[in-house]
Amino acid sequence: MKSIFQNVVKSASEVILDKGEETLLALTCILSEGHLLIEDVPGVGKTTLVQALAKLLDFKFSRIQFTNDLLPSDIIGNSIYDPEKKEFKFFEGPLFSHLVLADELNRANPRTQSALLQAMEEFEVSQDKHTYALPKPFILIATQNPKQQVGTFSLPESQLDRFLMAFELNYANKDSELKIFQGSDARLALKNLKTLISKTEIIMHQDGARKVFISPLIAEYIYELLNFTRKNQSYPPLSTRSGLSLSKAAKSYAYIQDRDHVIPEDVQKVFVSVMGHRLGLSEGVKVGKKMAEEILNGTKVPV
Amino acid sequence: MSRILFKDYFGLAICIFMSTLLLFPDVPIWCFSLGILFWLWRLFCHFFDFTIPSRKITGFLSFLALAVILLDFRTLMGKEPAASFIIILSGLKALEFSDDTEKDFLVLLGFFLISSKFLFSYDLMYLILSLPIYAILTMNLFPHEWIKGSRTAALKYLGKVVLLAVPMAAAMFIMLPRITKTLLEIPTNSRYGSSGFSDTVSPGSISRLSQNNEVVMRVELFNNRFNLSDMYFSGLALEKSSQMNWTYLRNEDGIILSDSPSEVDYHVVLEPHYKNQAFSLKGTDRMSAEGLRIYHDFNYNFRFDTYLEKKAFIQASLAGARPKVSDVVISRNLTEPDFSSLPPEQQTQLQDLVKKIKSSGTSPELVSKTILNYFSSNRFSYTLNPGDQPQLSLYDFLFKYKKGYCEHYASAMAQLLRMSKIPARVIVGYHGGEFNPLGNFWTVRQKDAHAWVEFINSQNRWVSVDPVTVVAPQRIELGFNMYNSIVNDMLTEEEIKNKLNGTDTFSRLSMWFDSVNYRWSTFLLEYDFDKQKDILKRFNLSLGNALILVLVLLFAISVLINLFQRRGIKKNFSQLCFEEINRWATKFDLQKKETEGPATWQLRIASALPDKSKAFLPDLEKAFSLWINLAYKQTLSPSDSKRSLTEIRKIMKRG
Repeated sequence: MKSIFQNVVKSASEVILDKGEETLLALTCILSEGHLLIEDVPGVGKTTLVQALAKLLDFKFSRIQFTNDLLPSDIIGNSIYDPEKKEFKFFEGPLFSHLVLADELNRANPRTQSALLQAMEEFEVSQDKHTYALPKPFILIATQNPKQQVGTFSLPESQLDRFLMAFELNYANKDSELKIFQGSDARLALKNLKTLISKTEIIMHQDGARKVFISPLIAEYIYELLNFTRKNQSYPPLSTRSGLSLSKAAKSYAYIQDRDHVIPEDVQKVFVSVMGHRLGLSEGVKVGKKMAEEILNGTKVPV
Repeated sequence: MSRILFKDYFGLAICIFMSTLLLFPDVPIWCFSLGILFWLWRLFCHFFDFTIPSRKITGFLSFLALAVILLDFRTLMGKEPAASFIIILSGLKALEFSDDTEKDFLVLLGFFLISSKFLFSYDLMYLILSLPIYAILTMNLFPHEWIKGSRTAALKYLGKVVLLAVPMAAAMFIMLPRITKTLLEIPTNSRYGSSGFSDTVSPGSISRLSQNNEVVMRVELFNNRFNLSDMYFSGLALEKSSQMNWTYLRNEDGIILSDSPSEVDYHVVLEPHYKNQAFSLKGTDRMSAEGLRIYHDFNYNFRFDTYLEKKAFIQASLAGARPKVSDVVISRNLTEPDFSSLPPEQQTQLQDLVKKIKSSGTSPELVSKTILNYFSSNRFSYTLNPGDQPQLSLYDFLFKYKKGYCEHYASAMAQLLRMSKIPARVIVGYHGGEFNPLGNFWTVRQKDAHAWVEFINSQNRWVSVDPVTVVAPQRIELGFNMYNSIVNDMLTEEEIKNKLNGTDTFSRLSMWFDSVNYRWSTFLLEYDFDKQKDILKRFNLSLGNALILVLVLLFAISVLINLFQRRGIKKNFSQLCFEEINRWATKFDLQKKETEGPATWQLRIASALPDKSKAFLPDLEKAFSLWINLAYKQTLSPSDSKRSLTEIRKIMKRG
């Protein structure tokens, strides 16, 4: 692993215990310029993880708590009339940050959810005929409560597809949890975190990840994985875009591992988180994760 | 290891074994048995799980075989030594075959084996037998990732190859210049065929051939329709006599190279044979064959300048009348037989007979007629089984046995003519043959061998006369085959009629095949240099331009194939590397799981490897990184890929 990313994971683990793998996946997501969906019950450290990442990567961070009465302008910003200049002035909303935590996204009504679509896909937002570019890098990390929880609107398929990855955080293991109970305040630890990578470095790493080589064998492997769902009636068929996302994520994962080429393991490592929400759809990430594991176990690695 | 050949490459093995069998007639028996022995050895290893011999042993054996072949043939050039060596080599290769990567070499050997037979034989039979072998060999050449074990995919690619190859072969056949010389002009002690006559004919030497069914030639006649009774193909004119034995007098009088016929009256497809006689119809004046030189003397006896190693396609024309004979020839053929060594009563009896013959007239025509009359009126009979009696004297034949085969009658008649001071000689050759109505040609076999007489008539020209016409007219009218079955099998008239009409389905089928075969070989043989020039002229191409065109096309195609295959080759190498490592891992039961990536596999091996093998881990890591680079890194050039493969092989051998 590249030492810089190793340091990031190590520092993050001081704040949030037993979540090394997830931190790594979140980093992968950031390097791929993709958005991340974290699904889990409240209180397992979703927010802490995101805050820690923002701090470590020197990202301007904002948090939007979604509720069912939240309106699009609340997140994008508002145009307000400036009487002196006799024109409307745009006041940027919380979306104009590098790292946006959309907390409990599925509590918002579909209208507000959809307002995020443009931002996620095109990295810009429109307000009254004007289009405003979002800062670069822009990464949205959304959390959602499992479907069973009351007062939730499940995310539309099109929006789910905009997320590069989705995973659950789960409870920490016993040892870590015991340490959490004994340990000091996570908020304090967060404050003490030092920035490890600058924004420009992140953009450089993103470029590097794009240049990672995918050999014909890997492309074939990705195809076989997708094809498995297309041949098999019991899975929702995976789209070409999902395959593209998979290869992007695999490249970034390989980049973090300090390799200039993708090996099958990279694909396998990111497969469950890239495909989980695409397979689970409204059933939730947990169901999709199980399906993704079945697909991995049913597809031969081409040699 | 010992099972791999017959388990994974069964088709290939059978193919190569079959091509070995096809070569059986062309190699010495010891070579053939040696080749078969190696195959049996391999089979033994297969069934009893016996270790296959190491490369050192097989390498030594192949050098040994090479040495013995050199001793036997004194050369490695030519068809026979080459075929022998390839047979032994392929047997040895089959014996030591232990590795997928050797497959290509085995396939190449198979191509050599089957081609070495095919190139020397224009026979359709071999073509048909070779085609499936060629097909299976070609299918074995396809890289694994093309076909992925699916037979239909292999057949699909085979179809593509055939589609590409047939027009290519046709283009090369039409465009590439003919080689008018034989490729390997080294005389070998050949087993090419047994037709042709030795220089001496004695009683029994022709009748011995009456059981020999071998085809001598196939003849197609144009312009004038011939009867069976006109079909005399003369081979040798025997001029030196002693009793009933006649010998060819080697003389070089007026030997000249025959001109090409301006108008072809008939052509002959002559099977290979170990004499240099070119059998010609009575009255032939010109004969030519592509790539061969045909000479003739004053008397228009045709012969080649060399042994016939391959089928020859001869074109010939007939002259209106035979030329007058020179005095030299007359004097040569007037040597009266000397009977001074015979007992006096036999001498007088013979002289009485000559007197009797001459009494009705001394002109050559009359004398020959009288002799024929003498045969027909004195209960002379024709027999198919005269027995071998090389020492049979003229007296015994004329006065005691009074029965014999054609050579007896021809010898006796020629002697009687000479005793009557008429120049005469014995001609050996073939008479008749079997007419194939489907192909409109005559098939002449060894059993159609015949002998007859020529004498010089009063106009000083050679005239031929066949004493058998009076002794057994049916033999000449019906041909040997029919006569033989009438006499031997005692056919009823109905059966004879059926046989004459050829209604028998089987004989029809064989005739049909023979005619197709004949057309095929004439098609191949007839397309000579002149025809080639004609065709090129039609397309406005000079020969040089055509050659350049073909070469450019070949180059373009090879470049295309190279480009097309580059990706394939790289993949192929990574696969071979993987198989190399996997084979090694099988020893520890740690082969790669299908859904497992390379790095996971490597970790699994590292943790599960028994302690005593742990020292190998750094080497293994190197092999893995070579393989992973080859499979997943930027495309390597074929030579680099190959280097990685050999490196991995070296490492895995150590482990």
